[in-house]
Order: sequence, then C-alpha cells, then structure tokens
Amino acid sequence: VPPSTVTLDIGRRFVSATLFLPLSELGTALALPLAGDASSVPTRYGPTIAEYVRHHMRAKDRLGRAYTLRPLTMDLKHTENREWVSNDWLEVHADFDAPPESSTDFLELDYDVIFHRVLSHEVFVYVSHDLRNGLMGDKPQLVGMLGFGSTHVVVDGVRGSWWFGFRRMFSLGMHHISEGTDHLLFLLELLLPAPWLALAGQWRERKTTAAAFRSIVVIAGGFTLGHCLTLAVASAGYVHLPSRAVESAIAISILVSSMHAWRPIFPGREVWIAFAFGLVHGLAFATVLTGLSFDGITLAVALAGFNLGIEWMQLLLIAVVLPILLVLSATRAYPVLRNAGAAVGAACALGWIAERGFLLSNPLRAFTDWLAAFTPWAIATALGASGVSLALLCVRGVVARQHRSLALSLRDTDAPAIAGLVQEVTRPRPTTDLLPPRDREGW
Amino acid sequence: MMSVADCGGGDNGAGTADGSTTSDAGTGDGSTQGDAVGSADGGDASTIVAACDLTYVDAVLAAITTFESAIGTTLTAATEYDDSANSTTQLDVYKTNWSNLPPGAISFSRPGITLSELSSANQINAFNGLVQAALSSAGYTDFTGVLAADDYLGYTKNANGYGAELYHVAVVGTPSETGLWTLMFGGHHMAFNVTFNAACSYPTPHHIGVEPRTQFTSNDHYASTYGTAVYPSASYQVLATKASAMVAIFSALSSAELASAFLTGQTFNDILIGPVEANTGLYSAVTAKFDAIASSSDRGLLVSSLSSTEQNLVTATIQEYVGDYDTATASRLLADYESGYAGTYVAWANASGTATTTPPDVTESGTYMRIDGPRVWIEIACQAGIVIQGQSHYHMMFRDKTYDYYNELSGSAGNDAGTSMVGGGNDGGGPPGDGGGGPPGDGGGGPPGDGGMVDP
Repeated sequence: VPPSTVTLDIGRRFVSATLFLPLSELGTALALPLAGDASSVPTRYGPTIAEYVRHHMRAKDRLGRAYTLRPLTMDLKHTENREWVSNDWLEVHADFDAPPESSTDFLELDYDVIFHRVLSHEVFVYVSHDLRNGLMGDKPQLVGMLGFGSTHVVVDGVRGSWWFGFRRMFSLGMHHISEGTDHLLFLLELLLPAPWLALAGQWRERKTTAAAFRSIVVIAGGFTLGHCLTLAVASAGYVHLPSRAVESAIAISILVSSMHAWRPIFPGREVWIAFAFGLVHGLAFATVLTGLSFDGITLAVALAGFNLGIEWMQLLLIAVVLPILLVLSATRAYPVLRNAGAAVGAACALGWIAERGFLLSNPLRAFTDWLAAFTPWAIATALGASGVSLALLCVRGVVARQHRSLALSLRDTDAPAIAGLVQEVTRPRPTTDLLPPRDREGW
Repeated sequence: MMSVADCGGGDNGAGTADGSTTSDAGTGDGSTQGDAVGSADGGDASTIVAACDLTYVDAVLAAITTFESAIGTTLTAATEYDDSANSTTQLDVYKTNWSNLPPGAISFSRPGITLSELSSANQINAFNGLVQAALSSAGYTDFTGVLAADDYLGYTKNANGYGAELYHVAVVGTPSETGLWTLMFGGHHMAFNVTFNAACSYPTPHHIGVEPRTQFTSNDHYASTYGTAVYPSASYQVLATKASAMVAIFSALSSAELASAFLTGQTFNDILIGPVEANTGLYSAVTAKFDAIASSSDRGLLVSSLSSTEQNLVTATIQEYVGDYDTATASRLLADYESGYAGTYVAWANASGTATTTPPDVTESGTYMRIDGPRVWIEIACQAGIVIQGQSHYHMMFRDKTYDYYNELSGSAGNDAGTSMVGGGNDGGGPPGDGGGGPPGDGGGGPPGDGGMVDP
C-alpha cells in the first residue's frame, strides 16, 4: 500500500510543502472514485481535494501562531512500482507563510490528510531544502512519520543560520571545482599555451613574463565571467539544458582547448573562448543548486556562497599553477611538455565525448578515475613545485636587479661573470640560460 | 516473587477494563523472569532458573545445533548474532528488521541467511527440522503455505522479486535455555519472531499474510532448483482457517452487535500496526499506536458482553494464532488473553466506512477485522492484490501489547522522543541542525503510566 510523502523546503519567509498523495488512498479517504480515472481528477475533484487538504494540515510557529496557507496547486504524477496497489499520485503544492514577525526556523506541522479516514495510511515527512541547515535537496532528512497515533511533527531548524548556509555553499563550491577533473582540465589546457606567442600557426616563443602573467589572468577571468553568468541564470531556473548535452559540451571544450595547446587555432582570442566555454561550465555548476529557485533570498545566498567557493578554489589553483607555468614555459623542454599536456587532455576529452555524447563505454575511464583520485597528490606535488618555481622567480628578480646594477657599474662585464654569480645563488643552472634570447631584456 | 508464576499464566493486569497495559505482568516492579535469570536490569543475579518447562526450548536448541552443524561455520556466523559480538542496540535493530514486504521493496536487509544459501539436502532438511521444532504443525502449515505462495507468485505468475529462496532465518542473541534470544523466520508476508527468555517463549510480533488468497497448486520451484523441498508439493489455500475463524465471530453477532462492532468512518487498506518499528530497534512507534487505540472512543464491541458461544468463537480465533507455537506457550498465552476479555474488543470495518448488515467479506478489499485486548492484538486486513489484481489478499498481525520481543525493546515513556525522527538539519555535515527535531511530546514517546516496557 503506497504511503504519502510530505517534503518541506524551508525558505526565508515561507515553507513550501509538497504532498505526494496516492490516489487510491486519497480516494478511500474522500469516498471518491479517484483511482479509476486519474486524468480527470484535477478538473473534476480539484476544488474538493484542495478544500479537504486545507482542513487537514496546519502549521504553527514556536509560539503557536499559525502559518498562513496560500492557495494550493496540484499536478498528477505516475510511478511504476509493482509493490503498490496504485501508481497514480496527486502532487499538491502548498506554501505556508510564516506569521508576521516570526521566522521559518521552527515549524510544528499538524497533519492527518488521508489517515484521518484510512487509519492504516502512513506519511513520511522530509525536509529537502533548508539552506540555513545546509540541506540542499540531495539528502532529504526524514523528520517524522505520521499516521494513526501521531499527527504532529516538529521541524526545528533553529540551530542553523544564513552564515552557516553560506559557508556550507562556499565549501561545496570549492569541492565542486577541486573534484571536477573536467573543469580543471579545461582551465589547465587553456593556460598551457598562454605564456607563448603564436606565429604562423605555431607556438613560436615565450612572451615576456609580465605578458604571460597577464594572459593567464585574463583567460582565467574570461572563464570566470562566463560561468558566473550561466550559473546565476540557470540556478534561477531561467535556463534548463539536458545535463548530457552540457556534459558533452564540456568534453568538447576540453578537446578544443587541448588542440589549441598543441597548435594555436584561436591565438589572441583565448579570452573569448574561455568566456564562451565558461558559459557551458556554469550550466554544469548550476545542477548543484537545482530546486533552490523556490525562494529568492535562499537562492541568492546559496549562489553567492557557491560561486565565491568556486572562484576562491580557482584562484588558489591559478596561484599554484602560475609560477610553475611561468618557469616551465621558459625552459627548452616546454614545447614537449605542452604537447604532452595537450595530448593527455585531448585523449581524456575524447573518452568523455564517447561516454557522454554517444553513451559508449569510456576506454579511458580507468585513467580519468585515476586522475581524479590522483588529484590530492597532484595538488601536493604542484604546491611543492610551485614553491620552488616561486623561489626561482624571486631569485631571477633579484638576479635581474643585480644584473642591472652590475651592468651599470661594470659596463663591459661579460655573460660568464653573471652566470657564475647566478650559479652561486641558485643551484642547478644559470637562469639566464633557461630563457630564449629575446626574453632576456625583459629581466 | 512471581518469576515462575508469571510465565505459567495468569496475567494479573489483563482484567483492567481500560485496556491499558499499566499493571500487566509485573514488568513495572522489575520482577519478571528476566531478572530472575540475572539479566542486567537489576534484581538478584545469584540464581539462574529456567522459568518454563524445558521441553520446547530444548527441542529448538537441538534443532539449531543440528542446523548449524549442517550449514557449517561460515553460514552459521551469518545466521547467528551472538551477544558477545553485538551490542544490545544492534541486536534490537535486527529483531525489528521484519516486514510484510518482499526484499526488493524494503530499505533494510532482513537478518540472517536466505534459503538460497542452502546447498545440500542435509542443510535443507536441517532447516525444515528447525522450523518444525519452532512451530506447531498448524504454524508449520502456514509457513510452508507462504513459501509455496511466494514461489507461485515468482514462478507461476512470473513476478520479479518473489520466491521461496528469498526467505530468511536468523538467530539474534546467543541461544540458550536461560538467556534472552530470538529466532526469526522472515520474508514476504511472513515474520515469525520467537523470543526466548528463561526457557519461556514469546512469539510476537507475528505477521503472516498471503497472496493469492484463493486456492492454488504449488509449482515446487524451490525443490526443483535446490534439490530438496521446503514445502510439500500440494494444493494450497493459505490462512483460510485463520480468516474464517475471525469471520465466524462476526457472523455469529446479532445485527445490533454487528453494528456496534463496526468502526464507523474508519477504513483500513492494510493492517494498522504492521512493521512500524522496522529497522529502529525501538518499540515507541508501536506504543504510540496502541496508546491512540487505548484513547480512541470507538474500539468496537466488548467481548465480555458477548454470549459464551460468541466468546468461544473469539477464543477459537486467538487459538488460531497462539496455536502456531508449542502447546505450553499457546495455553499460557490463551489463558492470559481470555482473562482479559473484560477489556477486549472485537471490531471490523469495510472500504466504505459505513456499516452493513452483512458480516465482513474477505473477498472485498478494505475488509478489516480485529481483536483488541489489554494484551492481545490480532488484526486481519483484506487488501487489494498486488500481483494477482482484482483479488483481495490477507495481511495479518498478532501482537502482545506487553510481551512483543519479551518487552525488551527500548521505547517506553521518556527515553525516546526522537525515535525515528531526525533533526531538520542533521545532514552528516555535522553542523548546527544536528538532531534538531526530536519532536518533544510527540506520539513517538510512550505515554506516562505505560509502564509496560522494561528499560534496556
């Protein structure tokens, strides 16, 4: 025998309740033949049912003041569960406005819809969204079971807060991007060629460090702007694209940026590509916030927290990767590294395209899973490498300044003397040797 | 004081007219046989006495030994949940893990091993021996009938998720003549939960049901798949005698009595107090319902107001349930329940909620009948068919309001406000809302004065 469920979404000023009522049981309770002809139920019996439901549930705040019930709306639903006598359901939406000067953080629900007549009927009551308590709809909390002998449930969220919800969203945003191998890969592929200049269809030579730095920041900025826009628009419910299409487009974005890292295909317009694909990635981020649009304030706080979490993580990532890129990109080995990175990215992207776009089994599944599992180690390694790179960059800065001052005092000093000096400061190799000739004057 | 007498019969609280369990069986004064054998809840632990005759418990223990040696150590380890390896809380959860539903439709696993794990004639025969030791021949008839019916649903009607091989056997607690432990046979439409304490047995909660309600011929799928039968090849009509015994009560009533036994305006599409405690290890959800029954204005017709012929029909119906177990247990329980007739009601309902002049009709979905006493609770619901649509099928429940699980589950007044309630903000993320909503004062808690439950 199918039970009812009542799902509560806690907004700032109101609580949105969704009642999922089995037509067979509702029909018994009302002595109406509802289960026989489900499709006609809303038109024929809608007002009767609404009137009945309104009289069999009410909500109060902590001081016993009543919430106000707005007009109900209802939809028919159908399930396929062979354990149930009936698989036709009425989904009733009921919004309870908190009493003036009260808050939605505490709610007492009195409820006996159906089971006031059908005594064997059971009702599961869940809280699905409650941002102040970190509930985002993915893990509905059972707050009570109602039925004969228990008509009352208390939903006490008073220990939550908007600040807690915001922090929760912030860390969710951070996790989302740090665990999203595909988002990370796209950004890395895009940044890989950023320190270099394209010339005649080839990555020819390294930009000045300052120019490389600027490129990286601008590209990351474009990506950020793009995904912020669609994240906001999609989570507010204005745009909805099938997730398979979005996920496939993300895989394509990785393929495109990998190809670009191999050979420049859109040199100078990276920021626009980053922006455009940022739009796509934002759509994917928005899936986390699904179902929050029922309440503007809730959505705004969640969106702010989640987005800032994403940006903060991204900023950390770039802060780590940037020095490494700047240093590595100045080595002779960089073209090989860049191409290797491009090849790995393209391979992963193709795997994902096969999997998401064509529902084939991903031949690289094991590898991408490994990559995801490897992420913490990669981060640790990257942090170390980044530290070393940063040190190198600093040393270079110092050396460059000394170079200039030496050059001022000993105008005819030759290179070997400087090289010797550098060797004293850093261990492995004279830094100047790492740089392509053109770039030396930048230092 | 009454550690032996209590077990032998004589429910001193059964006669209370208000139907409460307040003074039942001395659990409130801490002198049950549970204490006499030195369990943890106080009392004199110096002597260990078996309070009931040992014949039944010894037969069951011997059958368990035979079964466990047949299935070997690995399966035994999966069948038996020893006291030493499990907390009381965990054991209690296992004890409540029964349901009327098939395994695919419940969110938890029944404890123990399934009949699909038995792999030789020796093992299957040892299993059959265990069931026969635990149940009377009437109980065994129900048992085999339910298995045959599920094979019928699964392999004659070809419905997924049904079959005799899906039934479980488990021993929760360490079996002994003196200790507290429970033998469970369970599956779709079946929950035999026989709790032993100090050699006495307490065979409730006991759920049994069947689809199809009408006669069918067994397909013997289990025997043909596993090599040995767990039910005889035969034509079955399961639970028919239980249902007709109950119907006979109402058929014998005068039209005025029939009308006054009718629960006007109440309808039941299932039994009222099915596995509401499932997967909690607590009794509070059951207590809440019994309290609501006790305080309801309409419970039906008092048995003590009936003629002796009519009362005999009530007794015969109760006998149908207690009689599924050994004769000592059956006569002990029956005597207790009979002595409570001054507080025992019979009641019935139908799908319309409006009384008819004809007695309950089991072929109609929505037909509901029950016996509701100070301790005894037997209900039969005839509900719409699931696999065989258009035919009603039985769900039945037999509980002892005081001695379900030998009264050892937690859930009495004051210690469980949050039973199945999880706080509004408890999301595993740890934060503020944790446990936010154990509803204070909600029916989850037993009422004051319930007193029937022993603290854990």
